[in-house]
Amino acid sequence: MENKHHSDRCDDRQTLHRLTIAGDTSQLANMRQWLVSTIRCRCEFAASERLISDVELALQEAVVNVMAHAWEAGVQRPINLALSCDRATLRLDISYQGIAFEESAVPPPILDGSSDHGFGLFIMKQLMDEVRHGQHQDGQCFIRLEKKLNEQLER
Amino acid sequence: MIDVQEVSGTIVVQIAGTTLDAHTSKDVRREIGAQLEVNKHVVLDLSQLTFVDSSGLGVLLACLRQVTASGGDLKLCGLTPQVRSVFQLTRMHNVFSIHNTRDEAVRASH
Repeated sequence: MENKHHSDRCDDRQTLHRLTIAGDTSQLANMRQWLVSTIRCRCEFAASERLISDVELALQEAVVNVMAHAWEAGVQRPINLALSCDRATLRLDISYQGIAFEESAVPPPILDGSSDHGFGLFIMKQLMDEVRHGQHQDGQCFIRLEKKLNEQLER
Repeated sequence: MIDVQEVSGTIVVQIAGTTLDAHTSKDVRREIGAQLEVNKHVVLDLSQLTFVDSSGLGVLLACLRQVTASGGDLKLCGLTPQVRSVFQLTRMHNVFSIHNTRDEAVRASH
């Protein structure tokens, strides 16, 4: 499946950029490249290297969680990404068909080196100001990641 | 996916790609794991890595546990800013023996 991406201007301040990827890990590098180049080109006022790095890792963790947990073994479905930004907020919306992620079912990670998994949600929450998982009435699952930009602009 | 050298009697494994993530981690784990089966004292050189995610971190932790279980030791060197940031975020800088350079890590292995 080829990646599809396009942009459309929502209003004077906010631009929406979309990408659809196939649900396998070979798409991750292209996804990150899309994210980084889009932030640099379209949200240039927010494009500190620190912010880009944080958002890049948070998106990676969110999408890998979808690929790992949203489908039965052997099933891969498309994952839709939408990036929007204004001067206050950078927002990533991830949507997909599958099993909704239950945040409350995820135990806190063990950070003493005795466990080698369970870091993804922790990393996302450390890096982003908002991480929200849910499911729309039509069954479409979503993850919303938001980063406030005020602090970034003041740096 | 890895390059292996012996430096002053210590095995130095360099992860050759720029990314250690959910896509590359299984292959890297298998290749490093094979080295750890026959070498107890290993330095992992991460200086080419510009992106690590939690899957990559899991690989490094699995390697550490493998070495520790066999009575050996694993040292890391050459962490780039992104990798160092992930380590600090997850407190893994308190778990691993981390050195700035390959030479420092090799010296510490003796």
